[in-house]
Amino acid sequence: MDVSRRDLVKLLAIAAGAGLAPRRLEAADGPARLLAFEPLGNVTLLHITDAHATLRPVFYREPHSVSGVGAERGRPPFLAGAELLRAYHLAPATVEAYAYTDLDFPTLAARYGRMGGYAHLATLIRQVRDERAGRTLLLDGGDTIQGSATALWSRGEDMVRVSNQLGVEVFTPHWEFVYGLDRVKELFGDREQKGLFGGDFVAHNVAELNWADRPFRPFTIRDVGGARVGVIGQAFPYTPVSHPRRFVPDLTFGIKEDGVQALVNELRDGKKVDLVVLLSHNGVAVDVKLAGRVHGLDVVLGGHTHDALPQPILVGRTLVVNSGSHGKFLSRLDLDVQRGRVRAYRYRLMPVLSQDIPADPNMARLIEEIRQPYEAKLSERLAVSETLLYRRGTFNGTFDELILDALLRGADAQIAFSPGFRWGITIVPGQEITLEDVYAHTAVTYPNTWVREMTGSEVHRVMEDVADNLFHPDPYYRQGGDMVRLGGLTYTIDPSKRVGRRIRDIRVAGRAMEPTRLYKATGWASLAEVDGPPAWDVVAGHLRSLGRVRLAPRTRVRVVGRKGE
Amino acid sequence: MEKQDGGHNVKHGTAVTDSHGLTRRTVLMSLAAFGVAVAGGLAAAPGTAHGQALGQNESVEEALKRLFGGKTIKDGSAAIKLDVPLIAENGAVVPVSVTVDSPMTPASWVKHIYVVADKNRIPVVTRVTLAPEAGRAFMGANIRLGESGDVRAIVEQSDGTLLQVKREVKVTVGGCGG
Repeated sequence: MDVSRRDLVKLLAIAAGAGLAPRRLEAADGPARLLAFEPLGNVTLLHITDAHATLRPVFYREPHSVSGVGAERGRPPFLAGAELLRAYHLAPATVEAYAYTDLDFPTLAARYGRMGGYAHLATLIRQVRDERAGRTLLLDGGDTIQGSATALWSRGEDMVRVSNQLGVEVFTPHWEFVYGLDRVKELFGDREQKGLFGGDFVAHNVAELNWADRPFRPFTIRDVGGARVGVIGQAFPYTPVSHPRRFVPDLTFGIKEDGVQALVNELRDGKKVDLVVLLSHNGVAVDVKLAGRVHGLDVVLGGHTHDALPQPILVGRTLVVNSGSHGKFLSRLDLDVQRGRVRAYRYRLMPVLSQDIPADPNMARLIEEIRQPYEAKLSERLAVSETLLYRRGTFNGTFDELILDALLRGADAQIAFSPGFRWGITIVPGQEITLEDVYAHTAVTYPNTWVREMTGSEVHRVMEDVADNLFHPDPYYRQGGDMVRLGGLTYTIDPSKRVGRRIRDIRVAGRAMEPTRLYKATGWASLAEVDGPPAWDVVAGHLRSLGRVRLAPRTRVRVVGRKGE
Repeated sequence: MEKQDGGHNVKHGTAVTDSHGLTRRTVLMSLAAFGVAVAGGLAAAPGTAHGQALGQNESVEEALKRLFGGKTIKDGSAAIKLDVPLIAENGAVVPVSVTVDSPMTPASWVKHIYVVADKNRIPVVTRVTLAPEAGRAFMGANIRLGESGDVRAIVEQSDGTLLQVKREVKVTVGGCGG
């Protein structure tokens, strides 16, 4: 990513040729150089993932810390903030720092504006397609049809429509399944039939529980730039344990490493493809491990953990790409594929800077049409925030603190649980929080809240269980979220310890939690069926009553046993 | 063909009811102890009062000692393939399969495959008996796991050699992030 002055001039010329109007031609930190790309080879893979139904441009702050354990610590993808900038030779206070890190977020957000939005993404993709006619393949790694009010109310349909308009050609799922298997089939089709979706929906690691039949196609083969490209779909392996089982009662998932290897062999030897791609919703650490154990994968296009990797991680001969989330980025991977081998590649995680990329009029119209019936409801202003509100962070986020406050207050409880979801947009200081923003943090098909008594040891066990899903030394045992958010209590955690020993010094309202004592607890997004008011009502009600949000820093979690913390 | 056998559905190989105490009755008893309603016709099976206590509430070390005496169990990772989910989708029904790369001839064959769940109250979940005529050393079963812990496949060869592999299986309360 080091760009010399000469490169810059060259790239700017390309940018101009590609129809991008660089706003700050003279400024070395102008976004234009990130949008310019010197083409290479015969195949351009375009990858988006984890849009979480983010139709319009948003602010989305990357995490200030990420949780590497053991040998993973301090290496990509376990880098954030200044450490990440250093590792990729990027400068602070630049457009890269804004796109890839949390640093100076409010200031840089004001300078570079919102990111993503399907209308802006559409323009960027169209430009690449014009430039690389017949040589592109657009793939979506899933978590596309969940995360907004309109996606929830249309049960994913709005997002499939915009995906079709965008021309997504290959897709693999995760959150898609929270609308149930039947709905997934309606929207995306299955082995036999096409659904509303215009591309290929692939998921080799989804099987029927009793018969082990695959309901979906395991792979697809596309001709791109004269090369045969095989794409294997890897759905999120832990869908049934991460969401209520009732949505997929008859399906089984899993990483299925042997299955990946068998398909790679089939594609290479039987189908004679030139390039093998795994379109994955594993999460980046799982992808890196998998790439090291399966032979013959050229490229892994990954998602789930929302890592915005400025460059692919090279594992043996496999390029592992992860493309961030919320429509913030378009990954462009140019490959020179000759006779079944990748001769060269060039990559960029292209930030979808909505100020610098004009909206595609057709897409903008479709989005307006989708939103129009709900616009008035969604734009209700609930409160103004003086604090930067975000969700991403290993142990807590300021928007989560708001949710926890709302839950505790709504249920008059002592302890609140909120899942460590990695989706949910950022609110910058001075910004109004709308009802739409609340849905952007709560729009799931199992939104109900619950209240019940729990013993201290039950609370502790849940915390340990979730912590192990983050910090298990073997990435294959991780589910890929962040730590469950806890309201009403504080604790100390040592991620390097084993399960059952990581968390200590849990205090409820300042007093040591007693294992046998009962505490009134509340939460939402339960895996069991519960019937309390949906989280969006609880949070919106809380915000309306606050009017202004101002969160003092809270030292809820003390992390020990790690360098620098 | 699946054979309903209480705590495990044996899909292949031979279901186990032998002197090691892994009878249907003890399985039923243990399920009752967990407070689990046993499905189907098995729930009506009478006579649990006479079930043997053998194998219950023992540690995995005790169980292995009882089964194999002090005999050494060697690392079998070169020959045994244990297929089990790393994170159980449902702790009550965890599919396990064991494939052993071994001759199956009258001179040398895999005699038994054991599946052991270290943290279960009855750690020895099943024992499958094979004969050379089986042609290949393979078994599959659905087992129940009470909590996260190691699951082992132990192979007893016809000459008495014992081999094992194990793998951690998590039984999680679940919930997600991504």
